[in-house]
Amino acid sequence: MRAQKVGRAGTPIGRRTLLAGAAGSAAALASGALRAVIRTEGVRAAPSTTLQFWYTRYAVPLLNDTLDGFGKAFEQSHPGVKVQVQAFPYGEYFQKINTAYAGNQTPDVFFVDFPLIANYVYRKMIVALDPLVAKTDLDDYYPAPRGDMTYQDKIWALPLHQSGEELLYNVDALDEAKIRPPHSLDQQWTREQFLDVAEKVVRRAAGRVTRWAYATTYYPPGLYVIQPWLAMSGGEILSPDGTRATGYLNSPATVQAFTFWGDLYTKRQLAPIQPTPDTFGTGQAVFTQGNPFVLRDIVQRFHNLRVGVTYLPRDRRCATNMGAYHIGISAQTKQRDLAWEFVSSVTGREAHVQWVKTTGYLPARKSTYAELPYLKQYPWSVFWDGLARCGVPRPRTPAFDFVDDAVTDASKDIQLGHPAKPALDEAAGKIDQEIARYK
Amino acid sequence: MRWSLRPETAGYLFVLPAVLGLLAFGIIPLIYAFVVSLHNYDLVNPRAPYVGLANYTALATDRVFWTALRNTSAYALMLVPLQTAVGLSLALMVQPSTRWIALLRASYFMPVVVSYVVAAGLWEILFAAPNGPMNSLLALAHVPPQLFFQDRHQALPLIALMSSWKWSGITMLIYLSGLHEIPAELYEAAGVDGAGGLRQFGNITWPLLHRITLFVLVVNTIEAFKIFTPVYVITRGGPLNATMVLVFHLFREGFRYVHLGDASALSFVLLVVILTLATLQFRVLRGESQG
Repeated sequence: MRAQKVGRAGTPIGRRTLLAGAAGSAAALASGALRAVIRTEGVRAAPSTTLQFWYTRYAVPLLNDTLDGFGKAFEQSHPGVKVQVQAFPYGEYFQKINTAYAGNQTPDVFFVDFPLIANYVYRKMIVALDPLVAKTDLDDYYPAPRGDMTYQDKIWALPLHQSGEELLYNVDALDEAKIRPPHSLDQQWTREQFLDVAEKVVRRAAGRVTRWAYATTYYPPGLYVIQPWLAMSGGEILSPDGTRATGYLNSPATVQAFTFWGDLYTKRQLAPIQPTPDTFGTGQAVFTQGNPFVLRDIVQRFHNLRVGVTYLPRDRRCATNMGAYHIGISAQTKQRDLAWEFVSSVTGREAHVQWVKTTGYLPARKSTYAELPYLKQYPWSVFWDGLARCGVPRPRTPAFDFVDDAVTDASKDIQLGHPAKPALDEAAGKIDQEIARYK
Repeated sequence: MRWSLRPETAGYLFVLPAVLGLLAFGIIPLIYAFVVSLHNYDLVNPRAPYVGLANYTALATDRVFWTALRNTSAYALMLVPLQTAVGLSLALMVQPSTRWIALLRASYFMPVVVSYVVAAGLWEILFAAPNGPMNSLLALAHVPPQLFFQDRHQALPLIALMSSWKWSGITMLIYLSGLHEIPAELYEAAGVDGAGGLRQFGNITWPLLHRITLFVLVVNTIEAFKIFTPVYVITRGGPLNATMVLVFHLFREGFRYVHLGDASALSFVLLVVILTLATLQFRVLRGESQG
């Protein structure tokens, strides 16, 4: 069983280990176990009531099936209720929500990406959940998810999970280079150590790179991917109150961090500015940045690849990006109680366990962490430590989409060799203008 | 008792459905868009504050807008002559009606029926930097890897080239219809007088295709100014705003940042630009043909 061998570079993730959760979940789905995890008590719905639920479609069908299954289970526990579940591609979803809201057609319940909570609150698109959610239930959430779900001292949406990215690596490639990546946070590589390793594993021939050291999972790498690289060097995107980018996004620390990031692509030629599909999975890159769900997906799809996980490097501090999909209730719904019933079912303790096991994501609830012992073991322990001790939330501002685009555009330019300072000065100026619109 | 309609009333009734359609899906949305352009409308708040012409004046200081206008104009300048020349050349090549020529016509027209998104995705893969198929071909010729869509000097011309490949089939069809309208006797007479192919083209084909060319130029210019899909799929306006075009800027403002007022103002500016260009083209080319 190649996937279960322990290499010198560290412990590769056994396919069996990772698949076990997914297989178990699939079996659970098939046997209708989900029906049991959706609470049966609830508000009594009028006959033929329809509840609409929208989410962003996952590339892995099992996750979509799970979400669809939540809808079916809710129907069975709530006779007379029809849950109309609709999934949209990520690229269309948020625009769809906006236009649906303009047409007074939003679904009762929908996925909310947590950085957008501020915008939805500003535009009065979602309702506060404070009157609905029980304090005892809130206490079950870890502080970081509690922070994510809260804006202006109110709770607006409940998380499906927690997630953060670390470095996934090709075990064989590091074995070959006799490199052993750290699996505990106190031995985490510094940026310079990571550079040394990257220089050792990159392969060049006839002036061309034939194997990259590092490639991000998402292209172009946006704010979510870059933020830990900024934060580890003391860089910031916005002021703590989320009202200014000038002085933060173009501060010396952020410029220095962005320059380091850009050099990986241009000066050092360690990362591709435009990857071919599955750069890491097909062995064209030795490291990639991914969350537990990405890890599970790669292990499932590339059977001959031995994958390990180590922490993102540190500089002045350690840093891990964080965030998760939440579920919120539309301000336009005419059946708020039923919508809440659905939200509390899908994010409830039992469903949370089911979702975490199915996806490979990390739990937002303490009870789930206690119930799933595998989370304390490698590789989940790496993700868990990184998230708990180094997590950096994305900026909270109603102008988040604009901030995200401006930072992503600047990062693309810097990746192509444009000097960081003018690119960030321009981005910071644009962001300040945009944020001023929301005052 | 028989009743009858006056002929003009019957005429009005016949055009009524078309007029209603035009009103519902053309005129009224246009008026509504203009009203929106005078407000700070965010798609959600129905009581958007009236801001007068502020959304229009803001464009004057919007650097991205000026970049987008410059890029869109440059793109049109590259695409329109290229697409017109390629379309005309293809039409001349496939003018004779034989079985093999029909096959050629179909293959030249094929890119037109391919989804624009799919075509853009294919081109992105072909020209992926630095290890994509095109760079691998260049490597065989010892040419260093190119950045293509990631290069600020190459990206926009490459998009123009791709659009030309995608849409020249339509131009070819339009020219083919024009070529079939030219009486064969003219060529026969010119042949008898000793005129060669080039001379026949210069003295018969080109002048008689003048109205078709005018149509092609106007339509291609309008389409060029509406360029969006490949920018959305491949470059998202980058690198360094090198492919930021008007409609992509409008899309981002309107549907990503939900600045519907600014986006509507931008759309009216685009409308004025296109109308001005189309009018100029009509005037200049019509003047040429009448002169």
